Amino acid sequence: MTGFRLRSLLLIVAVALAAALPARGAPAGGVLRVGLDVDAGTLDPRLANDTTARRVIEQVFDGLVELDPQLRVRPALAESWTQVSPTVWVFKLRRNVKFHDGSPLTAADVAFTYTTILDPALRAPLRGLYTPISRVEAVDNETVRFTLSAPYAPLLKYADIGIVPKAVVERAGAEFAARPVGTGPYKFVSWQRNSRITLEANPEYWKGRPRLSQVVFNIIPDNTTRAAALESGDVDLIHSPLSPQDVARLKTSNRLRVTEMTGLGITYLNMNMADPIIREARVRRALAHLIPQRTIVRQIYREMDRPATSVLLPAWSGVYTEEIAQPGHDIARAKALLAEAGWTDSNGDGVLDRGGQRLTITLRTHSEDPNRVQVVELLLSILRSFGVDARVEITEFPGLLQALLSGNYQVVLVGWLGLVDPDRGMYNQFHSKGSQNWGKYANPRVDALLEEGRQKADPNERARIYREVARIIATDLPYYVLTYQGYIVAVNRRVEGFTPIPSGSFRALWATTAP
Amino acid sequence: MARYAGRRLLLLVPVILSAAVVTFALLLLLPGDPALALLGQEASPEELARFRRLLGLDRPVPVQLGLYLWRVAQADFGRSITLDAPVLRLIGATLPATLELATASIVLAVVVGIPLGLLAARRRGTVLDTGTMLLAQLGVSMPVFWLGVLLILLFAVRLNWLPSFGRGAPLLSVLLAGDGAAALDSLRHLVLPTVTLAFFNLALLSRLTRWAMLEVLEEDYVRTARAKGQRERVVLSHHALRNALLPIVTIVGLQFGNALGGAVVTETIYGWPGMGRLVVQAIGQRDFPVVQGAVLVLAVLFSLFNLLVDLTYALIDPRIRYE
Amino acid sequence: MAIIAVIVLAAALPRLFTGASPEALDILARLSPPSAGHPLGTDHLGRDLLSRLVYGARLSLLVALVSVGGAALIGVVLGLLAGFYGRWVDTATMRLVDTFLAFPAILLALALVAVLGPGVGSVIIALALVFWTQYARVVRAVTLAEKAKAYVEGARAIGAGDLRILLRHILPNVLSPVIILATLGMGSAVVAESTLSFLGLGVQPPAPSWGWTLAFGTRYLRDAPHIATFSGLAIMFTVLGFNLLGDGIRDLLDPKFRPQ
Repeated sequence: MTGFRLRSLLLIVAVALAAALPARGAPAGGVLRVGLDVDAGTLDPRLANDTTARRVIEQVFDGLVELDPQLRVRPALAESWTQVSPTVWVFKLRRNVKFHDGSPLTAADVAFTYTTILDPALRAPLRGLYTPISRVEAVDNETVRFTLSAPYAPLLKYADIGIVPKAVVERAGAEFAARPVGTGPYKFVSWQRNSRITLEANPEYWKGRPRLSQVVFNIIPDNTTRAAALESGDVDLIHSPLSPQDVARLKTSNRLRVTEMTGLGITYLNMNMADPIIREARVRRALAHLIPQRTIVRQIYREMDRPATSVLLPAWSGVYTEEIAQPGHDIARAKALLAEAGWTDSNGDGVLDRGGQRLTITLRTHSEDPNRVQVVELLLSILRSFGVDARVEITEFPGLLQALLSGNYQVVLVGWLGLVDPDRGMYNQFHSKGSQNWGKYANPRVDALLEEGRQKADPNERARIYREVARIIATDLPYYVLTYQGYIVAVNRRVEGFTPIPSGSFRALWATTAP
Repeated sequence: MARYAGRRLLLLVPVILSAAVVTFALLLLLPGDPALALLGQEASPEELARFRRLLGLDRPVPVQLGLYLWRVAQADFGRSITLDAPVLRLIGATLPATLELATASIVLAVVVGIPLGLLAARRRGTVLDTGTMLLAQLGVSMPVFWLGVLLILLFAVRLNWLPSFGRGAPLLSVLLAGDGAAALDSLRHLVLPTVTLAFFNLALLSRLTRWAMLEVLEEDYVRTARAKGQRERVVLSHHALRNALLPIVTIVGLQFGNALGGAVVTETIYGWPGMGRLVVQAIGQRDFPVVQGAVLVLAVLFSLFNLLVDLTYALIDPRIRYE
Repeated sequence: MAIIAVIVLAAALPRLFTGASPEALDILARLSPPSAGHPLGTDHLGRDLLSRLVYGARLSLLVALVSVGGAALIGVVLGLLAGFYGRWVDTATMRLVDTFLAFPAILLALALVAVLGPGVGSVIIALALVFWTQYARVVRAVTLAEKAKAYVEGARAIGAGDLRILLRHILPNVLSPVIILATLGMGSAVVAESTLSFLGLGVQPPAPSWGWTLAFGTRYLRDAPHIATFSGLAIMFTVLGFNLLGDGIRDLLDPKFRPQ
C-alpha cells in the first residue's frame, strides 16, 4: 500500500517535472519563430488588409517591384520598366521564375492580378490605390502594359503587391486565400486559425535558396505577453506594435537585440472643421499650444515614438524637412488666443464661456491602444485645469471610425500607418474631395497642390509641392501631428542577417539565419 | 422523467430562436458595421456603400432578419467577413480548443477542490480548515485577468518553466496517437490557462464541498452510523460523502457552463486559439456572421448544460417533481 | 463586516483617508513607487494611487449597488408575477430567463456596453441585464412554494386581492433569499466591472474606476507592480467583504438556503 502510494507519488512528481522543463531546442537548419499581434484575415495578397497578412504574404509572394529600407523602388518580378508616356507604363518580367506549384510566371498572371483587384466584385480593400489604372494587358509572355486614366506618380510604390497564379486561383476559388501559392522565398505549409502560420523554404527561389528551413508566425494578441514570449525564448522575433514599457525592458536584456527607427505611421489629433467650436482657427491653435508634446513622448511613449514637427514623415527622404513647425507648448499663448476669440470665464464658475455657451470639447480615441487612451486622459486633465469643459469618449475602433466617417466628433486622437508616399499621407486626407477628409477641411490652394503632386515625377518638384502643403496644414491645423510612430524590432541574438525596414516589411527574412 | 426531458429539449427550440434574434438585434445596434471594420480608415464612402450592398447590409432590417433566420434554419452560418472562411469551419477549428481548456479546468477544480473541501470538513476548526477556506475565499474574490497576468510573470518569464502563450497539438489526438513528446508539449501549454480558469471554480467547489459535508455530517443517519461504532473513515466515505456529492455534482455541471464563458478572458490573456477569443475578436471587428454563428453554438451548449444540470438535480433529489 | 464598513466609510468620507485629489496629476512622477508623499505610489499618469482607490470605492459601490439593485428589482417583479400567476406569464418569463442564460454572462455584458456606448450608466444597465435571471429564478421558486401554503388560501378566502397577497404575504418571504443573493452579487458586480474595463469597455476616464486602474496596472506589472497589486487587493478585499457579509446574512436569515 505504502509502496504503491510512494510510486504513484514519484510518478506524479516526474510528470510534473517533465511538464515544467523547457521544450527541446529547434532542429538544425534554422527555424525562425516570429510573434505577431493579430491573425491574418486572408493570405490572398489582393485581399490582404491587416499587417499579419502582409508579413506572411511577403514571404509567399513577390510583387513586380519591392521597396528597400529607404523606401526606394527596386526590381523584383519585373526586371525593368519604362514610362512610355505620362499615362503608359511597360514592365519587363524576369525570366524563369516559377510558382510554388512548378508553373512558370507569365505576363498573363500579372494582368490577371491587377485586373481582378480593379474588379469591384473581388472586394479588394486597397482597390482605391489602383483606380487610376484603366487597363492592364499582357503584351507578350514577359511584357505587361499599364494604361492610366491620368498621370499617377505614386503607382510604382504600390506595384509591390503580390502576383498570384491565374490558373491556380481560378481552380481554387475562394480557397486560394487559405492555401496560397506564390513565387516567394517561402512556401505555405499550414495555417491554424488564431494560433500559427507555418512556411518552409522554397529551394528554387529566383534570388537563391533562403537560409531558414522554416518560418513560424505565432499569433500572440497581448503586447506584454508577446514581449514575455520573446524574453522567455518562446519566439525569436517580435516587432511593433509594442508597449513602451516593454521596449524599455527588452533593451536591457543581453539575450536580445532591439532596433529602433522611425516608421511609416503618425499619431495625430483630427480636428473637425465642421464643428461650431473647433472650426475656429484660434481654438485649434490654442489646443495645439496646450499639448505638452515632448512630455507625452518622453513619459507615455518613452521615446519609442518621436515628437512630430509636421505632417511630413522623416522616412520620406528628399521631401521631409525639420523646418516646418506646428504651434509649440505655450499655455500663455493659448489663453490669449481663446480670449481673443471671446472665450473667457465671465460668470466665474471656472469654465470658459462665450455668449452663455460653455467651451465644451469632447476628445475621442479607441480602446485598443492604451497609449492613446493615456494621452487622451492627460489632455483631458490639462484642458479641464485650463477651464475647458472637456470630456472623453473611448470606444472600440469600428465605433470610432463610424463617428469619424459621419463627421460626428470634435477632436479625435488616431493614427495612420503604412504611409509609403506623401500622396498616400496627404491627398485623401486634405483634398476637399478626399475620401478620408472626415473633418471637411477645404483649402483651394491645398487642392491644387495635391493635384499637381500626383502628376510630377521629379523629386525636387514633389518636395516643393508637399512641403508647401505641410506648411499650410501646420498653420490651418486640420491635423495636429503628435508623434512619428517608431518602428521597433526585437530579436533574439541567435538570429542573424535580419534587416528591419521602416514599413514593417519582413522581406529580409530571405537572408536571415537562426542557427 | 423521460417525458419531462423531452419537453424541456423541445423548449430549447424557442430559446435558441430568441437567442438568435437577440444576437441579431444587438449586432444591429452596435456602432460601426462590418464594412467599416473590414475596409478600415482607408475606405472611401463609395467603397463602403458597395461593400454594404455586397454584404446585404443595405436591405430593410426585417428582410435581413428573415434571411438570417432562414439560413440558420438550414444550418448555413455563412462566411466570415474578416477571416475569409466558412463560419462553421472556424467554429469547428476553435471549439475543440475551448472544450479542451474548459474540461481540463473542471477536472483540476474537481480533483483539487473536492479533496480540499473534504479535508477541511474533516478537520473542521483546525488551522488547515481555516487556511483552506481563506484561500478559497481569496480565490472566489480574485479578478481572473489579474491572476492570469501574475502567473505568466512568475512561471513563464521569471522561472521560464512553462510557455506563456498558445496551445500545443490537440491533447486528445496526440494521446490517442501515443506521441509522448507532443503530449508533453500540449500539457505544458495547458497548465497556466487551466490553472487560471480553474481557480475560481476550484475555490467555489472546495467551499461547497466543505459546506455540503458539514451539512450531511449533522444528519441523523450519519449520527446513527457513528453511534453504531463504525470507523470514522467508513462513516465519511460511505455515508457522508455519497450524500454530499449530490449537490456537488450539480454544481460541477453548472461550472462547466461557467468555464465556457470564463474562457473568453483566459483565452485572450494566453492567446489560446479557442472560441471565446474568436467571439471577442469578431465583436471587435463587427464580423457579424462569426458572432451570430458562435453565439448560437455557445447558446446551444449552454442551454444543454443547464438542462443537464436540471435533469441531474431531478434524478438526484426525488423530492423535486415536475409537472 | 469590518471590511465593508471601511469601504463604505471610504466611499462616504474619502477625506478621512487621503488629502490628495484623485484627479491631480503629475506626469513626471508617473509610476513612482510608494513614498511618504504618495503612500501607495502613483498611477500611469502620476496621480496619487491611494486617493484614486479611496475615491474609486465610491464608484465601485455605486456601480455594484445600482446594478445589483436593478437586477434584483427586475428579478423580483418578474419572479413574483411568474410564480404567482403561472400559466403563460410563467412560461414567457422562464423562456426569457432561459434566453438570457443561453449567453455567457461576460459576452452579453460586453456586447451590451458596446451597444450602449461606454460609461457608468451603460455598465450599470448591462450588469443589471446580465444578473437579473438568478433573482427571477429564486423568487419564482419561493413564490410557488408560498402560494401553495394554507395562509395564502386563507387570505384569499377572506377576500384579499392579488396585489395585497403578493405584497403582504409573499414578498416578505422572498426578501431574505434576495438579500443574500444581492450581497453576494455585489462582489460579482465589482469583479465584472473590472473585467469590462480590462477588455477596454468600462467606465470612462477620468473616473477613478478600480477596474480601469487594475487594467492599466497589469500593463505596468513589471515596472510598477504597486499599481496592480494595490488595486487588485482593493477589488479582492471588497469582494471578500461582500462574500463574508453574504455568508453571515445567510446564517442569520435562512440557514437552509442554498445559493444556486
